[in-house]
Amino acid sequence: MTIPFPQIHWAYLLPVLLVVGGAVFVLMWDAFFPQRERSFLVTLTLAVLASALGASLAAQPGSEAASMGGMYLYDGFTRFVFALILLSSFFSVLLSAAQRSLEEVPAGDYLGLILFATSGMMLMAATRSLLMVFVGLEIFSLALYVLAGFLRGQPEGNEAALKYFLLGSFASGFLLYGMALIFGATGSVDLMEIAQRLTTSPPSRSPAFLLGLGFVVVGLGFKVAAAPFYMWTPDVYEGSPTAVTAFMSVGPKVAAFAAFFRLLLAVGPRAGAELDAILWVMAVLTMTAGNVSAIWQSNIKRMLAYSSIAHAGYILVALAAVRRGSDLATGSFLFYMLVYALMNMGAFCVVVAAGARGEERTRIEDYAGLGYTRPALAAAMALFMVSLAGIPPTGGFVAKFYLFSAAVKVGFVWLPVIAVLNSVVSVSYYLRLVVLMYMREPGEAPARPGLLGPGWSYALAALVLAAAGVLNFGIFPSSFFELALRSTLLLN
Amino acid sequence: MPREYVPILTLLALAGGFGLLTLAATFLFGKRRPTARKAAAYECGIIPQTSARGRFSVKFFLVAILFIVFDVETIFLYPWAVAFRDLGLYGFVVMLPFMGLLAASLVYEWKRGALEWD
Amino acid sequence: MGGLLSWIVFLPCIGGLALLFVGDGDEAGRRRVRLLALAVSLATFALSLALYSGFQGGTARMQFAEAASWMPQLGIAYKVGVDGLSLPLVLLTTFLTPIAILFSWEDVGRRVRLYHVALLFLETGMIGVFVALDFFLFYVFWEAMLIPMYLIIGVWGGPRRIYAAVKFFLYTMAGSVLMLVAILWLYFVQGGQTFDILAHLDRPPDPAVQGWLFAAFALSFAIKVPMFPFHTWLPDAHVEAPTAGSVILAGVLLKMGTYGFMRLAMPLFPSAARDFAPLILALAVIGIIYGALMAMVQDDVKKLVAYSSVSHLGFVMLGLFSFNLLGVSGGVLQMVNHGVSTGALFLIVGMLYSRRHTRLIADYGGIARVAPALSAFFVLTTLSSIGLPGLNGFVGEFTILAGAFQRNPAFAAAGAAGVVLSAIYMLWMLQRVLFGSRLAPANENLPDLSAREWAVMIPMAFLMFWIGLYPKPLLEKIEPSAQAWLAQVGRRVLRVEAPVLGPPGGLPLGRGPAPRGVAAAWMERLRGEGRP
Repeated sequence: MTIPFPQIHWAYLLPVLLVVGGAVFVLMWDAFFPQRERSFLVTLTLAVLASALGASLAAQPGSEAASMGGMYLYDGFTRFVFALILLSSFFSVLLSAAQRSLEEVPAGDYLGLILFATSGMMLMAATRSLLMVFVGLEIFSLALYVLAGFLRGQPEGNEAALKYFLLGSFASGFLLYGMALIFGATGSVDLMEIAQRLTTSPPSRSPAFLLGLGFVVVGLGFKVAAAPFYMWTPDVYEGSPTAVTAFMSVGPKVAAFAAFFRLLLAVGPRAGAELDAILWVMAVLTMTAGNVSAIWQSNIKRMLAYSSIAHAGYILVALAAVRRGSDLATGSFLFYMLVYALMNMGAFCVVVAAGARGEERTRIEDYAGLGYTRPALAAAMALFMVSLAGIPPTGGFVAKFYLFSAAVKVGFVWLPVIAVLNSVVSVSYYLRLVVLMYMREPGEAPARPGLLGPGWSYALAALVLAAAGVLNFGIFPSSFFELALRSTLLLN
Repeated sequence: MPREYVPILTLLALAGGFGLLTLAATFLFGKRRPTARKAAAYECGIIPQTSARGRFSVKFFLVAILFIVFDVETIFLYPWAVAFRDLGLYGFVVMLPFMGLLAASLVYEWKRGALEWD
Repeated sequence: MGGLLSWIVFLPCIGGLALLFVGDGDEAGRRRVRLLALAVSLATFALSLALYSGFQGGTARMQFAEAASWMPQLGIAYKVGVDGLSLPLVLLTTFLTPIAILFSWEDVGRRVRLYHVALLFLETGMIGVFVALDFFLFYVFWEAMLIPMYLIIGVWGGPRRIYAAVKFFLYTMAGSVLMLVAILWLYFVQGGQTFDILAHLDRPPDPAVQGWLFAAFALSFAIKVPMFPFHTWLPDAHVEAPTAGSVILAGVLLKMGTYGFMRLAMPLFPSAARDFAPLILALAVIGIIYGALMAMVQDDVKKLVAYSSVSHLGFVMLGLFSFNLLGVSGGVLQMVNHGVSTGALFLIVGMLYSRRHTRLIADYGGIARVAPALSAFFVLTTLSSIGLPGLNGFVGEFTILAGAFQRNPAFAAAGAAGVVLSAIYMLWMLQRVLFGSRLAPANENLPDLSAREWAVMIPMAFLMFWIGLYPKPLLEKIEPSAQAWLAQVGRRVLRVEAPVLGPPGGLPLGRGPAPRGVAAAWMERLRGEGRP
């Protein structure tokens, strides 16, 4: 028995290959020439990410989307998610280059890990097979465990890495066990086949299948930091280097939500009302827990951690809508992730840029009077906060509007009502920062040239990119929403 | 379908029950006369020289982890080698990137000094 | 290039963006910022005058309408237009903004650039709310306007400014988000796949759900008005805001609530509006009386004026929910009147404050002797606010009461009691501040109006007299839309002898037959003829 050469669409695979190849090259380069300029590796990494982005945008998904038996799937959805993941990696590399506490770390290892994590996220999103979902998840999770504790001298970093590792492995176990149960109940790990089996013979009521589905939801819920599996998030976000926190708050969420999305599209409509209730409760709990906890935070990274939990709650609204078959849900989900990536990255970039050498400005009180000591930075922060709160004319508002539209369209009424009330709660903590920046006088004169290190140009680029995006999506969202809507899936 | 699992469950119950029963029985009925020799840690039948809780160099861990990583990958190579003829050209081609990555990581460790003791 | 209306909406915003590039580090820079902001707002006002003169009376159509595709996937479009209901409010906004900028000339000394940027952005938001004809666009302007107002209160306000700003923001936002869900519901469940407000006006939803939708819309507008139990943010916001902020807040922002009722909540859900009318009328009357009583006991002038706003806006609601032409026209007119007279009151309070740095009534007394011009304007504004015939306040209040009487004499009686109360607290305050024999030593050298303050007050006074004596041109533009609106809301339009409204009391410049028309209609009601 010889295995024939499968058809491989290299153009489709190219983005992933570029990222993996780039990661190996960066590692090797640093191993062979450790004394060279750091900025070369940063530029190289950015070039790798940009070319992967270009490759994925250039590869028009066609009819032969699935290759290698569904292990690798390149459709419109994949393409959009690739763009999101690559964008978030691009931002976090810019942030890493700007963050002064990361100047001493071995650049090759650090950047290589970011690239490997990126490839894992891409693989997780670009597959129909549950196994590949798991493999992709493990690839990026392992890289992130290391990245979380990359500043070895800091005890908070060690705590974050260990916590993330232990809880993350536990969640991976749930995920894998759930997949095994689903395989046991349906006889396949391929989502398309699973969907077919569920329609022809309905084993969807079988306890093994439901249990497996539940376990998978737990595992993915952990990765997207949904209630009640979000406990790790604030500690890990607080302890990790800020650039890594920014990366963790966007990339893994995009990947895990993408996998969640594909799963729900395949099994959702056939899995019955239990899933409806679970998603509903999860969404409400997640957004409420995130928003209410964020109010009491005094550390900006913790606040942003809870805020990202709240946003995961809003995105779960889109998932609930997907389960009910809302045709707007996919587009609004993708658009939301895009805007979320920009505004969250922007906010973290301000945190990085506001820090001075050796000490980061992580206490919220540190931002008092920033509007007068560093007006441009504060204006950018205010913009991102307003956008995160979902107030027009920013992208955050339009994204929420689309999201809730998708939910109302399939008959949810209380879910969007609770979500909008949550937005009101969120205003109180997002605006607290604006209050501090503009309505308080600056405290003892802050070290003004905080950013005049070699990394300032990277931070500037990230800030301008994010701010322009947030404003553009708030005022002229149409073309990108169209793109998101057209990124339909092959599964349906 | 659940009925198919009945024998497995029975076996599980029997095996677990036996273990628990044995433990409980020795705990309840056994006589305990501890001596220094009996209480000592068991090290292949040899009398321990020092406390078993001593520290040793982190380098051992590094080597152990490297060993495990490459060991597992070698195990992955073994079935491939056995079925090499049957897999044909495709089987050969797909293994190249895998070997390449393996080699790259070895080079990386080497250059990083992970293989040197001092 | 966009039409006239788009220019009016976005010119302030463009000006605000341009301001960002003007430095305000030194006195000359600050002067440049102020001049540029004033020029932009005056240009906007000039454009709106062109809008006024180009506006055709005698029709209820949307005029100067513009439409452009925006988010075609969801049927969202950029649609703007004005009719007789929104035109006066647009004019009011463009009129008050240059006044506010002029007043802030010396009042606001720090963060000058940010202040004017916020003010100009605010103007775009306010005008946008009044001219938007698409739900999404309306909501965007409605919310976007919160941020600059929040900054104006929070950065340049009084000692408790942060509390007041956050309270203002959270109250308003909490009210309006439910409206968002109601809008989405209308879009998806009601169908039509459009966010076009006019298209939805033609298709009122099933009466069974109207109640919920009306409640969602009404809550957000009631908080903005503010109606009685939701008014608590207003005194805080008014007292803490800088003078120009108070002027804009009282002059325009509160009108957005009543305008929302008029443009959206009532015509979209006519049967629910009728069902809720008793409740809202009762709350309006409570607001009138409660606001007046609260105003009476204040010892802070600014707080007094703030509570008088609660009372006056109660009149507007009373007029709107009378469901007749008198009430509605009076309501629209009263919105403008309140904007002018309360705005002027806040300006005068601001002038007093900038001289003495106190707002306590007890610290004043005998001001009329040292600052006669200021006192004269104060008296004039007060009289306009309490509705002296010949000034603007009278026309609005009288027509509203007449309309309320047609609906239910009890409400009219309660409203009339509010008028009496307002005369009491206003005149009492006037007496304590301006007259009285005692002149505190600190007040002896109080300067009279400066040239800049004259420039601020004269247009306000002119408007008071103009609306009071010769409102005909304005009313002619309002009336057809009010008629059409009534038809929309579903009540029979009250037939009265032509021109319904004019200054009653036979003032020389007014139109003669008008009072007879009102009175005749009134008598007809009383005799029970033509009751629906």
